[in-house]
Amino acid sequence: MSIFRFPILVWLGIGTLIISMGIRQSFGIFMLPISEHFETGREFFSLTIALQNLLFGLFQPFVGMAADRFGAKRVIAGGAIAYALGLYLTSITQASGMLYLSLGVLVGLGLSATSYVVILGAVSKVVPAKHASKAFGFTSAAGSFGMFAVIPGAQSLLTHFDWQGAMQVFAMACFAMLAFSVFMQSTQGGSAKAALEVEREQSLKQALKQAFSHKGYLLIHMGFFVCGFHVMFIATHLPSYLADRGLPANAAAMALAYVGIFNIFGSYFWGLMGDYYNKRHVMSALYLVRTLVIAGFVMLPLTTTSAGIFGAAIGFCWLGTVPLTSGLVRQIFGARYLSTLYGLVFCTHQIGSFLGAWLGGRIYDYTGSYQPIWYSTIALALLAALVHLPINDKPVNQLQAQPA
Amino acid sequence: MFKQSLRAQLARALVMLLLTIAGVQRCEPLMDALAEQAMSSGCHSHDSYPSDRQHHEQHHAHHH
Repeated sequence: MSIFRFPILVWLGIGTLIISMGIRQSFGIFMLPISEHFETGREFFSLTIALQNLLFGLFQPFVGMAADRFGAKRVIAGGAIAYALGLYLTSITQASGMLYLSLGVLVGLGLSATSYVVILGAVSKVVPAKHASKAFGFTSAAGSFGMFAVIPGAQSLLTHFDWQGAMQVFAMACFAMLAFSVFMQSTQGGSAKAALEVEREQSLKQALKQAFSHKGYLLIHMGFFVCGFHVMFIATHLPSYLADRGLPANAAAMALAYVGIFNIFGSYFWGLMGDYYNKRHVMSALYLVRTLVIAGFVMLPLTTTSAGIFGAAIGFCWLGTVPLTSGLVRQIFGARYLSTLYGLVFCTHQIGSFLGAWLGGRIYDYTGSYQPIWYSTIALALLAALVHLPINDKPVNQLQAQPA
Repeated sequence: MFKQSLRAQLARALVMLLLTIAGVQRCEPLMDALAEQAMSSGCHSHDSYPSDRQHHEQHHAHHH
């Protein structure tokens, strides 16, 4: 299926992801002006963003359940309002403590309701199962690509307005997500509709019980935990690691920029592979590539060039796990409760992210070296490659959609 | 519209990737934006960065 034949909902979902994740990507540049305005130091803003990230993960299963029950359209609309309100309150408040509620809780909730879990859940209901992985990969890739367009825009806003004005422009941009949600029609025809009709008979409770008694679902959680651990450890500690090894600061910046560029194409590539080959095998291959890339980076001589090559290589298999993991959950459990089941898996990913960022620093402080944690990431990548092999990926409801 | 074989799809993605890399390498402001964003989103512990950037921006403002 050509990407140009994807239903309009896919394109509206991409637009929503671009705004939602694009604004989130830009929060880093607000650190200095907000810290100076409230005279609180950088730790306060960092804690607010950490709270937002934590809630972003914790809200995922709940917004997923809400999307499966009330429809993605309503959840995205509610999320867009929470996101806009959070940004607007941040811009007008005089009390620094208010930021925990506005930038932490409300934006965290808005992010959850307008990002991957809800969007991919909606996409899964309008795209035929055999093209789901490509659609997930394309949505993730196009969303990431668009984020890069938001970043220069955010920097330009801060140049022309004060930080409060920039926040208010972002709050207005959230209403575009609200507008997109109005046009989201989750109706579909043909085989996808036939499959969904059968799945409707299952309750949420039954779906959760079925998933948690399926060994494969727990193994998918394990794999995605490792993904979160890798991604956040590398994003947080790579600059410090490179600085420790005597490389200039711009080497880290370049490496992370390459991560971003190659991630876009990697997401599409791995999603495409998931439609043509067995998703379990593709997932194992992805983690094996990660194992080799990280092992090569740690064991081979480190230069500015090798850091750039590492950024490109790890970026290529950075978030390719998203279309494969969501595609595998969809293949086994169907589209009906994908947002709930993938939301729970995403929550595990965020726990891995938290531990990756935190343990990286903790172990460094304890041992004075990043080597133990790098070797742990290699072992975890190999483990993740292996845990996907025994997953029974046959559809649990045996929903072989009949031609309409 | 376009051929949908795996090879054709991968070839198109590769061309897009190469064009993006070439474009980013040639467009210094975009490369700077990506690098700065990468630093600010993944490098919170790098204390010298924000003041360096502010200095850089002031330097540019001075020239324009």
